[in-house]
Amino acid sequence: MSALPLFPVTTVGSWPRPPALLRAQRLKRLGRMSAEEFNRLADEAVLEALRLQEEAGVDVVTDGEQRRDNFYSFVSEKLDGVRLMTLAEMLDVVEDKAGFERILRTLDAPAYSISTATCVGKVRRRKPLALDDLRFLKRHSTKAIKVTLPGPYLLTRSMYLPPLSSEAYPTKEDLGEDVVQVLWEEVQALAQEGVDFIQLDEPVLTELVFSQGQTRTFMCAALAARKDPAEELEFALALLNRVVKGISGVRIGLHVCRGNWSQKEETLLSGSYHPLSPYLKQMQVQQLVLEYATQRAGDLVSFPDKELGLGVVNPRLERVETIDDIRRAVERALETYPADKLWLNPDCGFGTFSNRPVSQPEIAARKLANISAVARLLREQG
Amino acid sequence: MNEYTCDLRAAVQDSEPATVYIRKHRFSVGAPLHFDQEYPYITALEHALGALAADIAGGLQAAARRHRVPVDHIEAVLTGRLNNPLTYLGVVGEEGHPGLERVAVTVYVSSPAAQEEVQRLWIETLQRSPLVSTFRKAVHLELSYQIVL
Repeated sequence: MSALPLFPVTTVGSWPRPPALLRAQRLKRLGRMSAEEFNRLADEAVLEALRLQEEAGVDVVTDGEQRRDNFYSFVSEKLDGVRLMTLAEMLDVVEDKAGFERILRTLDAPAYSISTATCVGKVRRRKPLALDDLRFLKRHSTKAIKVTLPGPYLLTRSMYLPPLSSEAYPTKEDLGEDVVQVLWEEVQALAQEGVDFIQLDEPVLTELVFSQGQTRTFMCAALAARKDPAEELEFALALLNRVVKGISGVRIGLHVCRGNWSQKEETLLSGSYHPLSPYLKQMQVQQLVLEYATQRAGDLVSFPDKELGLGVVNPRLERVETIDDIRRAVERALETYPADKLWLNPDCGFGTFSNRPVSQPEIAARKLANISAVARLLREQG
Repeated sequence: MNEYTCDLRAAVQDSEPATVYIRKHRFSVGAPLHFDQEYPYITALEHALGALAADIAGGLQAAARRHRVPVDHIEAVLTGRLNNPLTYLGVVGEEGHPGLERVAVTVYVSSPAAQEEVQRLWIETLQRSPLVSTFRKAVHLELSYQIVL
């Protein structure tokens, strides 16, 4: 691990993709662009995202997930038994069509433009999920590096669609076994390659506790049926702890948010992390990367044994939070967390779904620059 | 050909749905309007609005083919608002009418063509659409398209 200053500044992963890369993603999907040509454009986009992060003073950089269509569906290119399907293709098999349509309307996006990974056979790791991305970033940055991966509960739940998956896996829990194996292999490989930080994304956990009986609020969760929330949380906890079992020499974080696919705040979930805290406390990760930049987040919850990746800016808001705004948020958090346990980051990614980024690169860069300015001020204060 | 009529027959027996016979085809149509999401048939209103959305999406595809403009995807979303649905139920004291008051259609298009070219196709599609021409005389129509990269 590279030596990091107090209040390390990082991102939560995604960065808005440039128009040329979005076009390239579509052409690659349609078979009209080779992987080599796509990678050339993606390399350029990664380097630009990297440059903007470094100029903004970010201490732990990511590749902005530029090669990915979204934060979880990219696994379909890397795994056996998984097929990338557009939501248009899935409308026929999805269980809650009306709920699905409501989400699509809010997203203001066509069903063909959003893809999801679906389990259609036995899941095996054909290629590394993010190892090549890490190697590319290491060649171009001397900064500490964070790699984001979809968490095991998210992947299991979003990929399991009974009409297509049940032949290979009679239940979602059966699929979870192989998802754990795939992610464990990847985490192990990334750790051996010397990554500094692995962030596992589990946004759907909040849906379990905040939207019981209500409309589904995550595109990635709208596909699979839910069971009892407590049972699901126990399942998610068991999966995650098995993914990180025996892994050492790398900081592992868990990101849990309340949705990041719309700029309409009222469509996203609200509520404190309190109902999740018994489970989050048992997760074998060093850091929790949590949203705290909106009123929707509620009170700061104490997790004494863990670092907090404190969300201090809202990636969906066009207004750039001022240095004073951010500083006040950090000072409030310092009442609960010691300085050496606090990291600073946005609430979530800036470009979760490639076709619907929630921000623009210049705004995102200004937000990061203000976070870095606050970190420097606080370090100077000692 | 300056005269064209569309001839069909709709028959309903004891209960819904009605069966519509047209050319060599037949299809079922449920109640004029229904408020239950679980209602098993497609209502007459839904058929009409579905036809409008499909007319525009299909018309755009046809225009693209005519002008040899490559288009990868087209998808239309439509929202129709009734003036007062309670009048359909016959609720006493309700004013207004059960008809459509406003229909908004957004068409998403993915194409490698220049924006100006897509704009030309869009204008031609609306000009040549039988249902847009018809609905426009009766309903406030809001029609737009978005290019999706």
